[in-house]
Amino acid sequence: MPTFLTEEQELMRQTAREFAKNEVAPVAKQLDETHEFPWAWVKRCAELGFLGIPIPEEYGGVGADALSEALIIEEIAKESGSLALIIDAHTSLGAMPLLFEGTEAQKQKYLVPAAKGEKLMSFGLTEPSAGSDAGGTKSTAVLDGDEWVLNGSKCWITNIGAAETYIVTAKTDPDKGNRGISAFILEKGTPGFEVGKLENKMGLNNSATGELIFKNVRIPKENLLGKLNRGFPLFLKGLDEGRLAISAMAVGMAQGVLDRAVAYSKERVQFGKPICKFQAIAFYLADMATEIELARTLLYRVARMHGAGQNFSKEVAILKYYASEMCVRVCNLGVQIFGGNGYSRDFEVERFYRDAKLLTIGEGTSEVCKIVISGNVLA
Amino acid sequence: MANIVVCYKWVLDEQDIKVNPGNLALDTSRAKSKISDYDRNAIEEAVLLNEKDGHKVTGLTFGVAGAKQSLKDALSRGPAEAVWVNDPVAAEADAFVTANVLAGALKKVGNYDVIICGEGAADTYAQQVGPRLAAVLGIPAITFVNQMSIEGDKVVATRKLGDCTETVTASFPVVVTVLPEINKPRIPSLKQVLGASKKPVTEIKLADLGLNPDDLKRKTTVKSLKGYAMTRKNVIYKDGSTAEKVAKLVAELAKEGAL
Amino acid sequence: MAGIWVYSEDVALVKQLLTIGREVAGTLNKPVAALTLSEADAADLAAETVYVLKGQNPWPESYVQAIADLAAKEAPDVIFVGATPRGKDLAAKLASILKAGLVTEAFKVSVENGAIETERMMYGGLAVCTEILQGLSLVTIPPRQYEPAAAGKGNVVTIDAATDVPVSVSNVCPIIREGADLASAEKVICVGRGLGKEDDLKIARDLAAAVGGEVGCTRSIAEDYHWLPAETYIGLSGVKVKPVLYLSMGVSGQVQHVAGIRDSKIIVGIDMNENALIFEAADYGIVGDLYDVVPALTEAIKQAK
Repeated sequence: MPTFLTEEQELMRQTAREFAKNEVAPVAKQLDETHEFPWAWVKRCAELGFLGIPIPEEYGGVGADALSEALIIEEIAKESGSLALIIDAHTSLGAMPLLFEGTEAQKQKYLVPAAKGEKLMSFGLTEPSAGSDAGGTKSTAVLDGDEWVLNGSKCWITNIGAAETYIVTAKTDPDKGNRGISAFILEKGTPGFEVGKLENKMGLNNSATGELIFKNVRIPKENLLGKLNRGFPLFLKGLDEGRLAISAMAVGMAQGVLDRAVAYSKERVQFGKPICKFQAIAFYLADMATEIELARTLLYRVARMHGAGQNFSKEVAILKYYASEMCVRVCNLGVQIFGGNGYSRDFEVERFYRDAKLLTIGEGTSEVCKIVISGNVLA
Repeated sequence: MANIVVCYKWVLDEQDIKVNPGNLALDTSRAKSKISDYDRNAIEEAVLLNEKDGHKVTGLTFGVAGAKQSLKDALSRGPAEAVWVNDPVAAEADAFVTANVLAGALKKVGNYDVIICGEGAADTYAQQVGPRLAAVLGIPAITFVNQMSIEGDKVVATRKLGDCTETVTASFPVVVTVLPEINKPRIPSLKQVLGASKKPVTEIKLADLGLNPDDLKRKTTVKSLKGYAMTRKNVIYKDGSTAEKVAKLVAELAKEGAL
Repeated sequence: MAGIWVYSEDVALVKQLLTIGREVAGTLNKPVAALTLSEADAADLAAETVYVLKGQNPWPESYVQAIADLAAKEAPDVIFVGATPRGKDLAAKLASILKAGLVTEAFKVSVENGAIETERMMYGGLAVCTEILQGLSLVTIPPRQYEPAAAGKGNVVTIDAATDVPVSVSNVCPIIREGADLASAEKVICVGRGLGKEDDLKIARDLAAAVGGEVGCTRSIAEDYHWLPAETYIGLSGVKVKPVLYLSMGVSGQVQHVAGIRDSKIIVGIDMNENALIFEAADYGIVGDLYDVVPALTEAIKQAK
């Protein structure tokens, strides 16, 4: 398919495709069943540069553009949504805020090992009473001499346990709502900083998601990330990155399902002919291909906008809303084409169907995306 | 330090080639190209030797205009530079022509101590270019190699030959053709991909090699190229219990005299 | 003297090549000459002339220049070389020295309008390429493609061969095989990635014991998993088998693998996935869990015997 990519982008995609096909695909089903964290995959992602794609070379990253990152996540998501999500949480949510607002010392200490893939990152915003409504944040950080003291908890945090470095938000001015939130850098193992229970999720079984607990966690004063009380705009910027990555996942997973459905429909014989010869099935495939191509076109356009340094908050909300809902629809049709086999764990479309649903929820639900979009439209 | 030249071929990916079930015609219209799989082993071996002892690795290919695409791909796998003989003749070249052209390019480039090729090309698998190239250059060829090292100005290689193995030692310059089992080619990292753009590429025109027109005329004529039709009975037991399926199979195999 | 030449370092293969050599010679009305490196082998070869190349070097590849010199003098029309690794190496160098065309591993050779026409595999076994050779024509031919020709007696001509080559050869050692030679096995049991773990090779070995066959594998089992030695992988770049019965378990049937089994008399596939390509290449197949099917099959075969 014509993609108007540079040779470098094509080759980086080839790297991701070879890795996904040779090393991810053969064990994806088995790992989904065991729910284990895929350390072997993550180690290989570090070697290949997938954990520092948009981070500049001077900070240990690859220095590739947003479109390259989207292409790589798309390829990986064709085989494993879990691994794509691990990369998203590490890079877009974890490392990018450090790149945006970190001091040089913070970048050297935390961004460089993250970009090289030596230390995994995680980002903690959501709380039992604060998700999309960040103003409801209950965790607090109080300055005590030269240290911040954090108390509270987070939930639905991806890469917990596996990550060494965490970016978390806490109220630093309880009276000021969104304008009273700051971001902090936490290291795994800091006294009082605990990993709570893992969520028992519907899908994306290999990404570790769950609770973080802060009990009088004392961290150095210099671990404040960005300006005091300016954590909210920082993580909104990080969420834009995350929405782009989630959209790339959506396109990749949907393509993975279409590829599998096409192959199956050619092989599966009913009433004396392959089921792809029935118009009902062929038209499902046409609908899937159409929706995927539309989402992909917008994905590449928004990635290019980002690469060109333009504000893309509205466009990425539109993209994320459309691509994630599209992925759920495509997975639904994929399972339908597989019939009874589609409902079986022996065939992989069932895994994609379970994994896809997170995409309309994480990094801002479809409804939150619509708030962003309508806000922009009405502005 | 040796000058290692690794030869590779830019071929159609056979997985993208479709066979028309009616007339067995090949449809290559949707086929993408790739570096021949066996040549990836050759590149990997050159790069491994460089990582071990420090040599200079140059990639060399003879291809049509479309093979330009192969250069960054090859360079991302580790060679320090690439040389590309660009001519439409490559599309029709057989091993005779290819060996003549590669020999011409090597003479033009000058410094070569060890020339590494894959055991055969992924499209033709004729296994001729390596030994032919050695014969044209008048140097030894060590073929079917599953292990090699460079010791001073010599190559020491283990050949695997059906019923035995043997160790062959030859002084520079020498052609070595490697078996796929010699290594597992790595997937290039993103940094290697981006680094490939910064490496030098030399494009050579066929006319500049000063070859005799007879050296560029292939020796065999292709009469036809058709899909291979596997005609088998295709009796597949799908339904019923394991015992029933096994019983049917054993009965058929007994009838065929295959037990 | 023009004519058809056959050469292999392996005399058993020379005899097989004489079969096609005689056939082509009959059509073209030309004599046949056999080339061999050993006087002892020369006695019963069914060729008009038997050239015995006598040199000091035991390394067969070192005779290429001597053969080229003889060919330059005697001008044969066709040279058939046995497609062993050594034969393919020598044939390519010989073709280069003689500036001749060479077809590698032709599975069919015929004479059309006085020229040699060959068929060989392309694109990993997906396609067949039919080629016509002009002028001096070299073809390498795989072992066991033709039955050996009956014994005969020819005029033995001994040639002193210069065999100086700038390489030294040492450590010549036979490959230690686990079991007999797959390439000539009558029954072959092949395992693929459908097998869960190395210990489970036992069920393949049990079946092989029941049918009296050898165990082979796909490339990934040998090269990625190292469960079996590299000498036992079957396929285009591995061993090509031609047994009476080839039976695979958990083999998907990629084209490169199928290229190594297509000369089998009966092909059987056992795999969980009813869409596996192996079933397109198979005479018989069972769709099912190999862990159920194979032990049951082993028992059934034991009882049937």
